[in-house]
Amino acid sequence: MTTIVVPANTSRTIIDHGENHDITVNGKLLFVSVLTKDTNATRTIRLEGKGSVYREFTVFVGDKSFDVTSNVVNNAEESTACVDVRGVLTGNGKANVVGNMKIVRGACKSDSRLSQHVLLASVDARANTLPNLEIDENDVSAGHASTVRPLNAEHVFYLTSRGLSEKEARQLLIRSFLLLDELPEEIRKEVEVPDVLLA
Amino acid sequence: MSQNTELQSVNASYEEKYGFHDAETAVFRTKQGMSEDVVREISKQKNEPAWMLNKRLEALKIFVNKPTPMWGGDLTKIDYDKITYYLKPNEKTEHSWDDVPADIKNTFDRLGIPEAEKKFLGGVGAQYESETVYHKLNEDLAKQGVIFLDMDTALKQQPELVQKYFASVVPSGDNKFAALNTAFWSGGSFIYIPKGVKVNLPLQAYFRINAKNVGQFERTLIIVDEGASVTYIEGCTAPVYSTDSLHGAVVEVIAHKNAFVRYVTIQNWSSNVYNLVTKRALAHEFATVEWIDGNLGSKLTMKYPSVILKGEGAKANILSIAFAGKGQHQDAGTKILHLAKNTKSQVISKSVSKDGGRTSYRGLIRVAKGCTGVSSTVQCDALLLDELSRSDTYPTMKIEEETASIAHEATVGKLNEDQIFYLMSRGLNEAQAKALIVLGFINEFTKELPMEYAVELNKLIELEMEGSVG
Repeated sequence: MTTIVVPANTSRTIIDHGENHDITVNGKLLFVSVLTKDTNATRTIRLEGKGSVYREFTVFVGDKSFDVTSNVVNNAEESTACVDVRGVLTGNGKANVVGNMKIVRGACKSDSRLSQHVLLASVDARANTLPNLEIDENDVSAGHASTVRPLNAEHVFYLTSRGLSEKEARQLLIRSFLLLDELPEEIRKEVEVPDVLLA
Repeated sequence: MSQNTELQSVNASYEEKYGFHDAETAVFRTKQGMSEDVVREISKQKNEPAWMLNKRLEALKIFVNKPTPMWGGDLTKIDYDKITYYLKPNEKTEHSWDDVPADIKNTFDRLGIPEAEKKFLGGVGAQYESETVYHKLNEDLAKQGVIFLDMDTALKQQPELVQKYFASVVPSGDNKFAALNTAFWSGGSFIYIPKGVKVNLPLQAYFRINAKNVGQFERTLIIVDEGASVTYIEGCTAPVYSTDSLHGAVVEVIAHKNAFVRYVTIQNWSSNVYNLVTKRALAHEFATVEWIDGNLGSKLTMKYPSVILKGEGAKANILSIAFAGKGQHQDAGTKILHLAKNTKSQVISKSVSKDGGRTSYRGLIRVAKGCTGVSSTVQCDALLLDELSRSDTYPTMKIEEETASIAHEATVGKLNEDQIFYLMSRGLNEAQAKALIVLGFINEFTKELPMEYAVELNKLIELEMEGSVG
């Protein structure tokens, strides 16, 4: 477990590979988590500073077991939390994705967003998603979205009709699904799209 | 829109419309609290076959041994020893409105039940405390073989059907309150629609608790045979007392191949009723089950209408609204099990919290391995009307199938000030503007109700909203 405090008026980026974290945010935090091994990780984030910002990208790919919990509490006015979890499961891959987004009373004008999207690329893959919201203040906006589905065959077909090979089409669709272009350059390279997905 | 600009508090309107109570004139009641003797006494009063008594006794043991659920709402304050489990208001079920005793008739007249029957219903049942006091089915439907009885009469007249399906969808051991219901059940509706019969007029039951500290445990069983269709509507109210009552219903629906069932509930219990209900449907091949579920009243509601999609191509639609006012907790949601190929489900849930009320959506979507071509969408929208209120969303998705397409979406927000401002600039006052926006918010629900119910629901929401200008 690592304990981190992000002071007011500062911006930080944390690159994670499946550690447990306990983070207090007064300023701004970008949290990027790339998971390729068996994972059982919990990150707890408290937004304590007025106007503080938390942005999370969690990406997992492969046939491992991914157990990821994000607990995010908006405990200050005008605080913003936005969590994106994207995963592609192959082989016997299993995912258990939990998001607990909480806005406490008094955290006016806060915003809390959670999205969890999982692509199942194998008959043996399994995904559980639990996007939970607890909203105790009315002057806020909050939302969550969660999907579990296979790669859209029509999208692949369209791209191949425009001259891409099927492999290129799948690569492109999976890259965009994983939001790779939004991640910092140095970490983008770590995410390899397994060949099994491209067959 | 109501043109009545006088502001009323929420409870004042409930007391006037539904909160009255009539003198208690029960012909028989068990002593307070639960025991094996109470169960035997109920079964003896009803002259039941031995298998039913055994089922009740077995369920009582399950109830006692199961722990109280610690999730959802606060159930620790229910005092099971203070509750009267069986209260018989009248000697028999009447089939002519004129024969119903005057005081009970008076209650239902005030609630508008006989008028509704004349206007647009194919059949009506009215339950008062533990027993059904009035039952009537349209003659044409009876001729086509439709059976619409209260559950106690059904046990006598249709013993094979009841024994075959009773507790087949919701077994006694399913949860603590299903066990409680199975041990003490009384009344409720029994419906059987024969093969291919389409019932165009809705069948309706109305449930009323009148006495203090009473438990109402109705048991409803709806069997819709191949290719048949039916719409069933139930309404519920109770007087306002300072002590708590318990409503613990179990509803089982069996939709055979190609059948269609729509089950509409508008519960508007007073704010001293614990409403702990298990509703579940079993859908066979290409059957469609729809739960239309409106939760306006009660102290605590824990209700998760569910559908087991067992046959290929079966469909579930669930549409619910919850309105939580002061001191109320509406913990509602859905459970859908996709256990066959090409099954589809759609859930739309709308909730409104006000004056410190709390609404929760608690859901489960499960797709079993090998069920290809499944799709499911869940949409939950919550509106918080003031700074004291609270809204939670706890959806769970368990997906074991690669080809499943599952989506969940939820939003929480407050009334849009620009919209209120716009409506006020067009001449509405603030309360009217807010009421109109709330009505628009739940419109997807209201438009599925029969006309008369939609009008009534809109009136209720307007009444709830009238006190809401801070």
